[in-house]
Amino acid sequence: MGLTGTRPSSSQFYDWWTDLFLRGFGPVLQAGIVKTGDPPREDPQRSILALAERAGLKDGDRVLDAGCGVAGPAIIIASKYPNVVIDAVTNSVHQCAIARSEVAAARLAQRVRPHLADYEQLPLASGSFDQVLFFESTGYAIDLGATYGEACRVLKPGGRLYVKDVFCRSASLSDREAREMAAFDELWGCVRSKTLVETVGAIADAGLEVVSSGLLQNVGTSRFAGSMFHLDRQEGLRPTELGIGFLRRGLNPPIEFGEVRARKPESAHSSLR
Amino acid sequence: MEKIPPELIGRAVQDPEFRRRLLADPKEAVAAEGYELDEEQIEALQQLDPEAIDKAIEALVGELDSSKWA
Repeated sequence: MGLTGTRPSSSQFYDWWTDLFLRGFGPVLQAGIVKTGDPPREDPQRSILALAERAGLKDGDRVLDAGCGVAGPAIIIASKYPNVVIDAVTNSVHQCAIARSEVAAARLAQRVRPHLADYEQLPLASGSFDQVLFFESTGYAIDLGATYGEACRVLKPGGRLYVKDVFCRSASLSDREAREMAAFDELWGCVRSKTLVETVGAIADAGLEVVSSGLLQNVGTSRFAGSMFHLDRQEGLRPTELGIGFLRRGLNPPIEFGEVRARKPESAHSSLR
Repeated sequence: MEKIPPELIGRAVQDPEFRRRLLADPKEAVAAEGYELDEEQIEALQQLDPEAIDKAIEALVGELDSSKWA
């Protein structure tokens, strides 16, 4: 399979690039890493645990990771919280195969279950999750209403939704910004990066109560950026394979990191599937 | 092996002022920022040509503004 011709779907994109992403980023396939520690550092494992805490995740929760990559975050969370059970969903055949292998290697197969599925049409029972997580995955949503509608359906009444993502800064962009945003989305295989405002609106329209939303200020991208380069005494600075694939000179997309917390009302009912 | 941590490389690419300090005096710069590098890594940084690094960054990513990496 190649990526020439028509634009690939997100599943094709990740089938193609995941091995390279794993070599560059490790098993947490996220650009923005929450800085933790003193001095603040971009440690992917601690970042995932910080996000889980921000989400309000509790030990014993049944968790859905929607857009799970190779289940790196799910494995980190399950390793920290001994009683959580995580269903992890990716629409990439290759990612799902790696996720299943990594979960087995971590001896977590009883509590982390990777699924090959589309988060806009989940093969999971209604009202069955305490927590739904979207970590840098909603840029791949074709239909934001279906995405959060499904999240709402599978949540238990009182269950929590947490979204952390790369958002487009505004729906009103200059022509140049719009071009740069489109180039960014195409580069990373996104359908379209959403704005924080439209995300909050879609979550509310799906029947969830938005608890809070805003920009994430303590997120760093140095590790992500640094993965694009080799730096050594012999050859100085040169691009890695990842850099050759994804560095674009002069590309300055209008993006920002943000988060949304929401909950399903206690009084809500889910249609059974 | 002198492999420089990706976070440090990324900071050097993203932040010209940090890059200037890092390449002028690696030992002082990493100590001031709390990074832990071994002697071989420090020596590797000391041997880099700051002008060549600037040119490589300009060629690969061009002018960065604050939104480049979000």
